Amino acid sequence: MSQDVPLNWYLIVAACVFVIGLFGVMTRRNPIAVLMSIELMLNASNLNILAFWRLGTPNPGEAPLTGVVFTALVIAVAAAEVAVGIALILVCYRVWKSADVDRYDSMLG
Amino acid sequence: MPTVPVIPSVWPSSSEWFFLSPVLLMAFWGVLVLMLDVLVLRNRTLLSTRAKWLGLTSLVGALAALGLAVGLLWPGVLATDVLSANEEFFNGTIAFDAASALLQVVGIGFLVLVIGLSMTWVFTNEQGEYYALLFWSAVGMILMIEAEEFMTLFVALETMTISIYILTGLETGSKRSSEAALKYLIYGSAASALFLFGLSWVYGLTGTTRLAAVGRALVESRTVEGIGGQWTSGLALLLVLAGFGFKVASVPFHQWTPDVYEGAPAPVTAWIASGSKFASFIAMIKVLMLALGTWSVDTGHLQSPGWVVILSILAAVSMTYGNLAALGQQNFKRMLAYSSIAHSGYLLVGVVAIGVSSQRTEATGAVLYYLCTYGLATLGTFAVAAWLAHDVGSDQIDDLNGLGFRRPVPAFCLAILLLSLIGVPPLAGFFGKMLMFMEALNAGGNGGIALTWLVVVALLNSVVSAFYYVRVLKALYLRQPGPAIGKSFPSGVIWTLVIAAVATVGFGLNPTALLDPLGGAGISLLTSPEPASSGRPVDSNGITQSATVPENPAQTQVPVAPAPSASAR
Amino acid sequence: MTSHWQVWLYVAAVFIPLVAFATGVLFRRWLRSWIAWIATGAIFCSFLLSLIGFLGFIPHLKSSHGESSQSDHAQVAIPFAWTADFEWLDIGSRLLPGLESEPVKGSLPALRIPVSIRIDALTVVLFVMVSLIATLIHFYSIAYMAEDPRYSWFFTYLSLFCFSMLALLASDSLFLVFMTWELVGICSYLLIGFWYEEKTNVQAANKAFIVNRIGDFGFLIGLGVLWTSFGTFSISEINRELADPGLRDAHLRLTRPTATHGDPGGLVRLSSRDQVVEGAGPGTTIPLFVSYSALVVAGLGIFAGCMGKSAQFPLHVWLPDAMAGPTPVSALIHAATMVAAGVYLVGRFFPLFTHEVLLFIAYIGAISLVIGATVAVVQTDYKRLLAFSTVSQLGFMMLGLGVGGWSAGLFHLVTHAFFKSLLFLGAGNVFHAVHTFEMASLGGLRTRMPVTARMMLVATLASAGIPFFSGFYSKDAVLASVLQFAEFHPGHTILVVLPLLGSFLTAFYIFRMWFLIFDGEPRSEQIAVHAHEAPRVMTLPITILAIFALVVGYPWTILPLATPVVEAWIEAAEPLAAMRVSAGVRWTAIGFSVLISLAGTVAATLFYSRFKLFSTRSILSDLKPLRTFLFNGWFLDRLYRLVFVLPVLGVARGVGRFDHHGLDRLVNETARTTRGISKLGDAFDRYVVDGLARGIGWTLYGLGWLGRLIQTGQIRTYVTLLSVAMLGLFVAVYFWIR
Repeated sequence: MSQDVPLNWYLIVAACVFVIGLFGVMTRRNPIAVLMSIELMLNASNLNILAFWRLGTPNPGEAPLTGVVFTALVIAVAAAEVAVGIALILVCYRVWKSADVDRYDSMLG
Repeated sequence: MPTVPVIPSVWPSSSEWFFLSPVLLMAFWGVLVLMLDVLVLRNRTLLSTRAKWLGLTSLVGALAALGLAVGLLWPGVLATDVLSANEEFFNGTIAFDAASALLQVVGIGFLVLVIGLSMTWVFTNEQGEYYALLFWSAVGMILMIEAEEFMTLFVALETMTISIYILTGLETGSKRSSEAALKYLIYGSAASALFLFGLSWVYGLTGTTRLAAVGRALVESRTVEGIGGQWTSGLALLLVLAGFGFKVASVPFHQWTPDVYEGAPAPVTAWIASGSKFASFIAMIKVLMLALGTWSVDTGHLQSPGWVVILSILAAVSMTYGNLAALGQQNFKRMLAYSSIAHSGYLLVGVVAIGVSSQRTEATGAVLYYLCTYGLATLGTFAVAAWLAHDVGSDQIDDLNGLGFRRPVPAFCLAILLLSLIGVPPLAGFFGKMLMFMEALNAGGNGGIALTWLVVVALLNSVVSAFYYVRVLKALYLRQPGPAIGKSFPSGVIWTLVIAAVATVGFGLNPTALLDPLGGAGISLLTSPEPASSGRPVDSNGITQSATVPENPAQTQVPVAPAPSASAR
Repeated sequence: MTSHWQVWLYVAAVFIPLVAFATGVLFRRWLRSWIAWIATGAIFCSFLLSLIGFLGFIPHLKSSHGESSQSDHAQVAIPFAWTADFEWLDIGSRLLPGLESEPVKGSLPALRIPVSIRIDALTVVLFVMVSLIATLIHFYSIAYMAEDPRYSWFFTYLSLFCFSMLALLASDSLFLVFMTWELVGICSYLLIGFWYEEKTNVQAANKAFIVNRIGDFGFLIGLGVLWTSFGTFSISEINRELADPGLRDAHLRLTRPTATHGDPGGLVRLSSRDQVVEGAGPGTTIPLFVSYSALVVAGLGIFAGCMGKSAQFPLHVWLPDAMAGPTPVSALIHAATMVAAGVYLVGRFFPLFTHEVLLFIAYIGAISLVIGATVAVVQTDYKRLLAFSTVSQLGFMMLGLGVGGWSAGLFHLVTHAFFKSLLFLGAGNVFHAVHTFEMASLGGLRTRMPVTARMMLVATLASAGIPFFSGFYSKDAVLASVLQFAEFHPGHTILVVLPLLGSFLTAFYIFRMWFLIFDGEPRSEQIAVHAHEAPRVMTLPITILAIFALVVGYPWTILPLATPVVEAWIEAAEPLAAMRVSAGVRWTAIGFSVLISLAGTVAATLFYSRFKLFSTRSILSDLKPLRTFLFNGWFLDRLYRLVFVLPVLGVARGVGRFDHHGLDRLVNETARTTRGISKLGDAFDRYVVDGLARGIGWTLYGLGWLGRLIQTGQIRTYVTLLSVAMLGLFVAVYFWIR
């Protein structure tokens, strides 16, 4: 068997992806792009979980598939979030006639 | 791939299903209401008729769920040995204990009131979806309270939150409603991502997702109490706290609160402020105490790194920010939103008290008491906000002018609720605050006093909060009536107000009635499920740990136990 | 604890007004103005019940400390009381017995809050006083408020107030005290803002509520510290534990010249705290250690609450504004009963206060006394004048308590309640007749309102401290305590000077008020023409009050040194053997007291009565021969001139000018100083204290506004701030845990 990629590399990549996603949420004005960025953040967590599952030390007595199941659930949740997100973006677009999150600022203070 | 031992998975027994019956009923009832709307009523009847029938159906379902939940509490319905054994339930993902049984009653009770309030006005065309989503968010909420495991917790939390995103945006044709929903979704998803990233780190550090097992693993691997010297622990802890901080609306994760509270339909706001906050705080307490208890604080050094200090600071900042920002608000809903941030701060004081108090269960009981009574008071005040928004068409505090003499009953109830929120004895809000703050003072153990600064900040803040609540009282009783006052109060609002006010006064005059059961719930809340012994087959995850968890606070019956693991040494 | 059946008398007396309140709330529409009679009847029933209770208590009205006054270490007898406990709240002691049953040493006991009622001599006396005054004021209000649109609400509020006030007096649990304390505060708030159509009234109500919250903040801290230290809320239990000899030494250091031993710096050991420990049989006593500083904090905290309620400097600012309420309310709540609650609580908790705290109380009392009196001198609104006078008199009581004159301070509370409520009701009559509060436009009402004028004169005399009126006896008792204190502690002589100054000013301003309203010629014909005596239903209460204001201070015998009857009754409830005043000091006090009050009276007479004209002329004519005589050649004339004549001339000129300008030189020469001080006090009040309060308010609003600036409404800002906060937290935590 070939040598595995070290755990730390995964973690660093995941952290980078996470920060990129967060940065995207902060900077993108198109709501669709914001949703994509959130997707990045969630997937960074998935990467983390899978890396830990595959390469980390499991708790004694822990079930064999925890990480995979967790990831599957997260993917499902993320899908739901995006579905709702796109629906809400459509509603906003219809009401505000604009697809720019900066425009949605009627409530403040 | 590691070799996988084959472990038989266990199909939940009938008593387990029975225990979950309120939740299952609500999940099913959501589908039922939706189908009733889509297949039977939509396009055949007027909107108002549809709304009435769907509302009534939902109310029946919620009441039935409430009845089931109360029935489960009835002595003898569930064998007590089953309850007290704290067995692994649903393969260890859901707590099967007194706390779950009791707290789900409270949660469903909130749902009943919110449904009653929603039936009062027709503010959306999507009636079926609205009630279905209310049910499903309640399902998520209760599973979140009961979750004993991070995956379940996360999914339950998302079920609740995503349902509420949609509920927020459901008000037909309202610009602010859709804006609030999108903001809520973006902020909430970002916060969820932070939370999940934290969970992934916790999973990585411990190799498990079960709260109790995480707690044990952290104890075994710890070098110090608290998070001193371990930056990965610090990172994971902060990320998890960010997730919960978002849900409970604590500074600096609070910014969605005013906008969402203002924009969402008022019944939904009431639901967010009562139910969602209730569930989030309980889940937070469970995670912090059962899983991350080791990271609380170094025994004997209250200033050492750990979540106790972080939460103390967040609590102080939340209270101060919330109260100050509420001072100048003219908009009733926004004022309540900021005051809700402040109340999160008070509640965080209670959470800190649980972390360090020498009487954990009393402290937990105090926080639960505050959550219940605060939830009721919030429902009542938002009922008035809803009345303002829908019947008067305004959100301004000034529109309440002179209500006290024109509509004495609702105004008096509102006054009671506001006084309770200030913390005037003998109302329930006063006892909640007093008990939590006293437990925080009690934290030093040995009769000493600790966290004095935090309690002083909290007391100062309750003085400040009096300023803006009194403004509402002044509007009610000391101002000339405005034109809006002629509007009548629908019965849904009156019911909610009266129930909330009566409960506030009743639980204020006799706090023991609520405190005793909640104190009992506090005990089982802080008791993690023990690994299955010979009584049951080993479950699919095959935990084989020893039976006693030293870190388990409720079992730590050692004298002078100021911090989580005094006895572990 | 044993229960005495007599307690039920008092429970009934407390709850009858509550029933009237409930009736008022529920059946207001049907009963209409009958509510006034129901409320009056209810409080009258309470009065009868407390009278019965009082008669039953008479055999126990003997001081338990009479013999022990000379010995520091005498066993402290607990004053006799009727008591009863009702279970109300029990937290923690009933939780699952297997898990949390054993009280852990050092941790707090379960929180039990019984509703305990304790009726001792002080309660008995105050019950009669409060219910009597309240009855009279209810009766009075029936006519006074007759034309008000919210007539029935007024009596409903009054009933709620009576309930809360009586409950406050009866409760032994500090917790219950706090609750009723808030309740009376709320009633006060509602009644100050009763005529809410006017904005100033609303502001006054708010001010009262908020200033009181500031005091309650301290109260809560005190409450918390007491509970964590003693594990109980029972006042009598705490007092009993504080009666330990070691602590008493520290305490008595203040009131005894010799008791300087004891170590208050360390831990104070309190005995007889029963706790069951594991392995030991029940009843094993673990001494409870309460740190001295905790006692100081608790004492200061409780006193802060009292300062708010009793309008003591610097929290007195709400009281003058509270005069915005209807006058009967001012008489009942803001003169006789509620504002005295702070003094009452200080008295109740007397053993709690360490000597530093007592000194603090004394100084606060003295400062309030002087500020109140000096400001009252320059007031032109007679109701505000009375309000400042109340501040001053409450300061007197606090001073008395602070220097250890326990019964003196509380005795003054009782006498003051009678004469001050009389003054207010009289003022109400005047207002009823002339519809103005400005003294400058009054005068000469004596002939038009003879009954009111006479009764007010009684109150004025009592207030000024003229012998044979009740105020004289109580003020004299306080002065005696102060003098005795100063004899032990010469460093605090200022505490003698200030009350003397205060007494002088009190006599001066109170007579000034009476003269300006009732004496001389009407200054405004228009007003005087319409003035008429109040109806019988309004004069009867003040007549009864006048009788009490006269006799309530009398001793059994006319011997000058005999203790007044009421003071002796109150003394029977004394929680600690407090200071005993020696005969010599008593004589000195009487001397000072008589002289000072007479001087003040005379001064006022000279300046403001109708005799002023006569006096001026007589002085001038008397001086003429003197001047001629001096002018005719004495070598000493310059010296005399310097020492006597210039001042006398000054007086003469001043009084002469007063004829023409209404302001006299003497005021400029001698009383200008007074006025200066008063003005300063007034300005201090207006700008520093009020300004501070307003400043804090604006600062808070400003901070809130600043805080809301980050709420831009843009989701990207929110997420950015969230990220920044996370980053900041992470960096902070990283460096912190490293």
